[in-house]
Amino acid sequence: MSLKIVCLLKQTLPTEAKISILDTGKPGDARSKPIINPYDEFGIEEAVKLKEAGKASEVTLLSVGTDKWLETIRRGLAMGADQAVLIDVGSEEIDQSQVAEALANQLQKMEYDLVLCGKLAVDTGLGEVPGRVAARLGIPLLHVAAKVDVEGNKVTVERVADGNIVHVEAECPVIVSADKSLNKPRFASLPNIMKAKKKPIDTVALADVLSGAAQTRRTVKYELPPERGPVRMLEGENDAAARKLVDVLVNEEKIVH
Amino acid sequence: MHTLAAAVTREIYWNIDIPFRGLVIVILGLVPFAIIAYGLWQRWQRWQRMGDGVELPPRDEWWSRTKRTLVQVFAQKRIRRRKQGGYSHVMIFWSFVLLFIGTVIVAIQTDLATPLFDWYFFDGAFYVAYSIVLDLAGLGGIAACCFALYRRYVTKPETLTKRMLTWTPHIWVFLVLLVQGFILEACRISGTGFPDHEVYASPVGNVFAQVIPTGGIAEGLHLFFWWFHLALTLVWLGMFGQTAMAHIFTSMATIWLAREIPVSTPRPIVDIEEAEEFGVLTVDQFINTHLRDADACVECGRCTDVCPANITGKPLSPKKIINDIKEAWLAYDAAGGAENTSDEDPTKRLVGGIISQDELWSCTTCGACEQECPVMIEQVDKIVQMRRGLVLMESEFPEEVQNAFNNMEQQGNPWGKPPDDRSKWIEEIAEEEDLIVPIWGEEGSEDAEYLFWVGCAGALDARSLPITKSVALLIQKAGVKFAVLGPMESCTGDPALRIGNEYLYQILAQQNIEVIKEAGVKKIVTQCPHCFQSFNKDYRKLDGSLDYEVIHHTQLISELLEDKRLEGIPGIDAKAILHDSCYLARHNKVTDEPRNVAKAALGNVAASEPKRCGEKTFCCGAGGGRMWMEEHLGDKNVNAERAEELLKDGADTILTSCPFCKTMLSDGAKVVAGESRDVKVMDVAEALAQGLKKTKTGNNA
Ligand code: SF4
Ligand code: SF4
Ligand code: SF4
Repeated sequence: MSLKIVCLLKQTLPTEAKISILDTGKPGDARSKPIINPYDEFGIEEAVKLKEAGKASEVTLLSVGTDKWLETIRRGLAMGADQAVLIDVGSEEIDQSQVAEALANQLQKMEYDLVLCGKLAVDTGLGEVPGRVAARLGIPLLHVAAKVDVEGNKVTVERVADGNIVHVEAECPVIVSADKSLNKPRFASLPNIMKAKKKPIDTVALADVLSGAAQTRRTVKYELPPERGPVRMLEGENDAAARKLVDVLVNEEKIVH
Repeated sequence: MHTLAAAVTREIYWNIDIPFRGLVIVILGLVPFAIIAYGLWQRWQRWQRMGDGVELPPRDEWWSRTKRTLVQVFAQKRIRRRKQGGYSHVMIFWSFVLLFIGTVIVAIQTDLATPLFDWYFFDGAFYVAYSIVLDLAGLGGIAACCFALYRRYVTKPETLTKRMLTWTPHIWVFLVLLVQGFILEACRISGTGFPDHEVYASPVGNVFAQVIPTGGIAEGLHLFFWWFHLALTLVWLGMFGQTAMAHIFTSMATIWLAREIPVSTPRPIVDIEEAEEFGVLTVDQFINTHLRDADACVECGRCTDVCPANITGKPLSPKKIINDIKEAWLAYDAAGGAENTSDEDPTKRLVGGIISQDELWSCTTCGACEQECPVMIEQVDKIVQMRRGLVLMESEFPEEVQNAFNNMEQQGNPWGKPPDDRSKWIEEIAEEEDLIVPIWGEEGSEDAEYLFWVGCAGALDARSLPITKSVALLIQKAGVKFAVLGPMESCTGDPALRIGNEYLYQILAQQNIEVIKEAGVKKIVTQCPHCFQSFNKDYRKLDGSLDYEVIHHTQLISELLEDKRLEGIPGIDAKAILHDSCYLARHNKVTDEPRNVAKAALGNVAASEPKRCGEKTFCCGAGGGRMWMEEHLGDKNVNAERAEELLKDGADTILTSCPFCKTMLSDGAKVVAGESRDVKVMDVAEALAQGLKKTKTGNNA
């Protein structure tokens, strides 16, 4: 049997971006070009590999975002996904539980055997979505997969735990979240980038998949972490410098008591 | 005045008695030329089968191209760049040309001037001059042939490998013909009873004549050699259209058709959005120029001789690349072209087949090969085309490059630093030097004459920041009004272009072109030669409407020095040596200006120079995107090879004019000089600004 795979995709800022609080009050970096959340990218790569190996018949990307994400979604298509669905939130603010609900509701309208996603998104670092989606759909979650094997209807993953490797399996439909060591995402070839421009992206209005689920949490504000102070060099020979260091740590910085 | 008697001549066709001689000679003479013409016609047909066929340049360039070709043919300018092989080639060439003209003159006398006009000019001073010149041409030719053979049999320089050795028979034939010429002359002198004037008119033949018995033996020998000489000449000439000797014609045609060399800007992919194939993986994907010029390679090996990758033991040899392409195409053509060959065919599939990825990734695009090639073959564009095939079609490239690509795309610079960091140096210089650098379009930039294009290295790399600050300081001191783009600047795309990611390059380039156009910039000064190359050449190939002026910082500073707008700067005290940047000196021919700045910095003393300098400079190893790749092949790194050359005479300071050169050579110098010897590597602008800072502290004290 050949699986239908849906990959969840979130757009994030590149890991090297310099975050500041923008005029909107939200953290961001207007000058960096956004990317696919690196963990989601592992998921897409794995899905495309399964398709190339003949184990999957179709790979669909699914996002909850805005039309500013289209370019990023196209990159996922360039990696080899066949089509994409974007749930457009417009200017609405929703939290992870609502995102998960929207995703789950949309998934229920689609055919899928395997859902692949990242274990977390690098911007929030939360990793709530895989679990929430699994719970809402009532399907097993194979979390933080370092290796994925598909045999017919059975999905086996390896997860690196503290000092051991755990092998877990489940029957489809199942949701698998990707860890960093899962694979090395490909660099899309130019013909594939060009082909991706012609692949279909369906847009779904948020209201169609999120009916009235109220927000239970509210983000109060964002602020930048305190800046790191400058490096101080303590002068003097070993002995004197050591004394000074103790003095600074105890009396000035009050780190050591 | 003493005039030479009319008897001072020689009897043409002495001892030769052929019925209908004129007719026979003309017919015999025409045969080889007909065969040559046939060979060339075949070659032309072959060239037409390559790619889309030969494309002729626009008519208004024809004359300049013809001039260029004549210079290369008769002055042998490029050939002479190499002493041994070069000058022996020049001598063989001129020997051949003069003797050929000599033969034609004789034919004109006997078969035109005498029968038609009853005019005899082949005597007196003319005959003497003619005879001396031809004697010397023959002698020089013999010497050069012997030397050429000596190189092939005894010294065997590495350059002369493979089919270069198949030229040997031609050298032998020419040598035999030349010796025969003297034997004939000697027989005639002896057979005609040693005319007095031949002592000075035919000095060489006269010496030979001393050993030829007079009378019948001379006549017999003469007859034998005359026919032998004629037959050999005709047969040999007949081979000129097909054998290695066809190089006479193919070289001329290739030089005439060639682009400006070194080519510097790889051909852009036009309509990249519409194209379906990108770059080259199989030999048939090359355009006509590349197949045709490869076909004209004379295998002299000069390109490989100067290749920094090859010199440091990398698997790259431009000569091999060119000949692989040539042979692969001939095999492809012989097999019947597109219909009868498959893309997987190991010869048709060049990249990853007969040409390895390691070869392609070793190139620094320094352009040395193109500059040396006497036939003006484009090596670098071919390499970039094949890199494009790997990158764009197959996503194949050294692993570390992916980071650079992602960084350029996402952050607008290969380091992956946040774009806002581009303002850091501006804040620093405001604090350190009290210098306010305005941002283009913002306060203080209203009267800016120049856009100072800082570049990624200049704005983000710790080792390059001092160069940027020095340039700013110097031009500000001279009263130049300038502004920068700050975070609006982005990578010019040079590494992407030369690594073969044309798609990314065009995105970055278009973005910058838009910014420049929108800002209405008319004059640009760049800190980095690679940015200079982008603006000066690469971008103009993408967008013909760009009309800004662009100069490198050394050009601006040199001009300011000349105009005495920068004056009285005490020099730094150093034993300095100058390193020319490939992208400045070779690709853009800027060589005097860095020297002027260095000289001013050193207190009016010229910096010393290594042997490989100016347009013949040796790469630091960073070009062609190599800055972003590991260097794990070969017996040494390119930067170490260069640092060694620069430091061998005890210099304590290396002066550069490129941020990448500075980085590469600082690392190279550490390897070569060790930690103990203190070698400074700095940009010429930094050196000059150091003097400036000295005055400042002096004033403050
Ligand atoms: S450009 Fe430089 S490195 Fe590349 S093949 Fe030519 S000489 Fe060698
Ligand atoms: S490419 Fe040019 S320089 Fe290199 S071997 Fe051929 S003719 Fe000589
Ligand atoms: S970094 Fe300097 S020497 Fe090296 S390729 Fe570039 S310009 Fe040439």
